[in-house]
Amino acid sequence: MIKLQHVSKTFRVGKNKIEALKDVSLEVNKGEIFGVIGFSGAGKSTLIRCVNLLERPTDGQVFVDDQDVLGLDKRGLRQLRRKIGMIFQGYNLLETANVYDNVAIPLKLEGVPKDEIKARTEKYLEIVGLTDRSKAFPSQLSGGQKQRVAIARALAHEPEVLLSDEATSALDPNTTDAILELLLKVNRELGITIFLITHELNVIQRICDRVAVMENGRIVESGTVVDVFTRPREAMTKQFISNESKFLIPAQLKSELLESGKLVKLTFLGESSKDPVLATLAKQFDVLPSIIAGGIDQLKDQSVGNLLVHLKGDQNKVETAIQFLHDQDVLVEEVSG
Amino acid sequence: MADFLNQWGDAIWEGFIQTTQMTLISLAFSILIGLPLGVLLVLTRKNGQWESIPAYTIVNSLINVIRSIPFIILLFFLLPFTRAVAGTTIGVKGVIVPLVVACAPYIARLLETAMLEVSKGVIEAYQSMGISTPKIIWHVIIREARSSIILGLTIAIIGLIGETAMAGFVGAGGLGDLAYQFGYVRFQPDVMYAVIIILIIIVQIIQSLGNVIARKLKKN
Repeated sequence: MIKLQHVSKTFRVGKNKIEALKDVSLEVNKGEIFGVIGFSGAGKSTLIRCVNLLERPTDGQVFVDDQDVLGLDKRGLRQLRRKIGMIFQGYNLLETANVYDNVAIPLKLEGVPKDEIKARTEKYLEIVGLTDRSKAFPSQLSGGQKQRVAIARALAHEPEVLLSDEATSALDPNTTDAILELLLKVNRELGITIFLITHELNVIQRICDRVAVMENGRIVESGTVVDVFTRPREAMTKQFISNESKFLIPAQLKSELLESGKLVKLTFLGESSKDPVLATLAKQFDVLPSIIAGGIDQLKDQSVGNLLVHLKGDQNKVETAIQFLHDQDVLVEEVSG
Repeated sequence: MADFLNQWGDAIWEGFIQTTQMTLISLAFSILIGLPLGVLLVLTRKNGQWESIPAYTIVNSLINVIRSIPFIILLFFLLPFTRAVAGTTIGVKGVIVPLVVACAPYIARLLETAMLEVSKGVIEAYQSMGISTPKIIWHVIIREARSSIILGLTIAIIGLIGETAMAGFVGAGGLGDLAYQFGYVRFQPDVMYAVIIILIIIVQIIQSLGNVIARKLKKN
């Protein structure tokens, strides 16, 4: 649906050149939710803006629905942009227009027939749950409600793709969840492909099918969300994940535990989470597991369990036990001092 | 009071009509010229939609040059130009040209400031929806700036009324001329006082009206 090939973007600020994107290639498939995560300044915003040419790449190619975006003339670009909805961190609504008009005005400017404007505006306000606020002005709405208006405005063009530029970054956690829920619904029920950028891990975890991790203008790692989160390869990715799910234990306790056995982080996925593997360790291998810390991360379609376990027992037996865990499709990561 | 009105009522009424005529006609022309100039300034400036440093520099300097010249001097300086455009340099007709030349750049500047306040994000959102620049100018930028635009125009109208006082020098009449001719030159201060009171009332009404309309248009 969206294909970026070797896209680079260099900004000139006075005499300095800033390379915001360096040879970025990625593909977003029809119907999926694709997320790009990175810290601020990684180039995510420039990347998403290259899709609808709010930013023109210095180099490389951009395809949307097999159309070469960079080859389009002004008129062609306007046509294409109507197929691509976009929502922003700052909502970007007209302050002088009420909710209804904020959705209806762009349709009017596009030349959509009158009855159709009314029908679509009402339909999409209903979908985002704001029918009863249609006469309110943006200044009377909460952040979450404003983002809903922005989503309705984007959907009213009946786009094939929705670009989301940090749409939940200005919202509190509860509101973020509600907006993510809405995006999921948009994806599932209307079949709209979503390409989003964020610096929030939980956005990726909750709704994305695939993810790319960005650092310094490059994509350092990409894959399905489950893969990237359970088997992160790059330091950058690990840093993101560890901020959330590393079990921080006091150094004192840690060194005590390491003296008396091995400390391992176990990650359970899908099927492997159902068997009583820890009990098996004690019974079959004569290794005594004790749980130090644990938690569950809810990903879009499955949950991932994390346990920090202390394994006490004969060294050989501990090794065999770890091998057994591997065989059970449990991811084992040894924690050292 | 009755005597005063009998003696001066007609003259004051005539002055009021002349002032109103001069103000409204030059305001209309000034908006007609100033609005596109203001839009041009916004579009051609750095990072504008039609960025063009030469165009911006030319328009910007021209506005600054005209705005540097005091109206009374502009009035005489422009005499040949006025004759060429209006066919005369006297009367209400003769004063409209210099009033517009003085006011249009002022309005352009006020509108530029008002339009620059509109959030870049909203403009970008409309670009991302595939809406053309002319439509964005009218339906987004001017719409969002309309409250500040009205406040700016209010200031411009009041400025214009002040400038019409100098129209007497080319025989265009008006309230200011009345006050000057009779109140100052012929030592009849009561005429001057009456005119001042009328001008104060007019300016008050215009400013209040401007404020009310601006507040209504803001709607937030």
